[in-house]
Amino acid sequence: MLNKTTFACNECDLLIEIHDIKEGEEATCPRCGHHVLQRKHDSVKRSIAISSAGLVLFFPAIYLPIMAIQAAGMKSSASLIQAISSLWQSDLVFVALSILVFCVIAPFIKLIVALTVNVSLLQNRTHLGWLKPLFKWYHKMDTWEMLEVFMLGILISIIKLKDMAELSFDTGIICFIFFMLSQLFLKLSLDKQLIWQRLHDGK
Amino acid sequence: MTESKDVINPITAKEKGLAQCHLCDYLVPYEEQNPHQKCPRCGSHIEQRKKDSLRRCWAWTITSLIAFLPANFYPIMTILYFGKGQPDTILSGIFTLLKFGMYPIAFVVFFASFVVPLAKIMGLFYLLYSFERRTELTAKQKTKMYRYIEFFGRWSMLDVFVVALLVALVELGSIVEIVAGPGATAFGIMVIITMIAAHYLDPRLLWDKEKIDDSK
Repeated sequence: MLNKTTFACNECDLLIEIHDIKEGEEATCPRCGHHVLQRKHDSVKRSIAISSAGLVLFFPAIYLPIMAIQAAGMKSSASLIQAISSLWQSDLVFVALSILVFCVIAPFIKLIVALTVNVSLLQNRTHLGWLKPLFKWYHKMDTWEMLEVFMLGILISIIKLKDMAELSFDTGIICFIFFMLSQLFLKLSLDKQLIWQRLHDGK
Repeated sequence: MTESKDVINPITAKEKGLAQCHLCDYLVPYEEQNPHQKCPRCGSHIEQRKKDSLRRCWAWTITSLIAFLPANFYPIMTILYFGKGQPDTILSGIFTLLKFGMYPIAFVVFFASFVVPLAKIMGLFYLLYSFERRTELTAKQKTKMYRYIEFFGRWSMLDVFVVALLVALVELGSIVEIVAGPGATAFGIMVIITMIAAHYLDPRLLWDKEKIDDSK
């Protein structure tokens, strides 16, 4: 039967034998250069720490105002949720919904799934039948999570507005930055292959 | 990691009668007679190559080219000073930025909102065309191109996010207000369509094609 050290490259389908790959190392496809396998350092514990930090930051990051502007004695501020609701009110329902999915729902699902699955791995409860369908949601949400793009959007809005009015920032932007970083670090720490292998072996 | 120039005698999973799960990377013997083969590890549908990859990619890429037009011709937002203002499309917004001397940011917006989506659509057309004719680029170069197309796709949502923030933020009574336009919807739809188009293209087909060409 098949040896578990054999992988096919996802981009060129080359069969590759991978032996003795240690934590922190990665294997690249010799033909097309695709990263076939990446083993992460201390993946389970790090992912638990990062995803719980991300979940703590979730509500402040989306509800607290990211920034405020002041001009002619009037002040106005906006949070991520307010941005979505004002698009909804200006009848841009599709745009409002896509931002809701890309910047709120997808990151939230990724954090919840990563936390649940990694905690189960830590406690050796990999036999639970619902873990596999749950972890598939992490993969599904991966393409559509765009927090880092929204972060660049914040920076561009700042530059666009800075000559027009007086800008001020509150704790909201700090929460959002760390929330975005939690997604980035989760991507770097979560070891998908390790999780699939352990979920499969635990059955 | 070193990348050798040529792998001598490359053997693919398909040639060995194997298929790898697209979701969890589990390698299984491919059952050609069974159209409903499921991955024993994660339960996803198993296929050696993405089904109808080229046909679907053609359809979605043509759609995204059509969607590119309203995305750039409809106004994405209007800045109202004392209730009056000119609607801005993506391109006229960039010209406004240039007029005020904000060159770096005009470049970023131009790149993310105009160059990237257009290059992405053109790139997909080129890759699809390369299946019809022999082209100069090698499969390796085309795979690299495909990787960039996939990676940069999401960054085109940038302008939509900027509009969302500005609309929520700039509401200072009757003095100045920013209103979003239908271009924001058209633009968001265009970005999502190009992402789907890129998703349907199976890069492994590029290598299959190269092997057939070389053996001729």
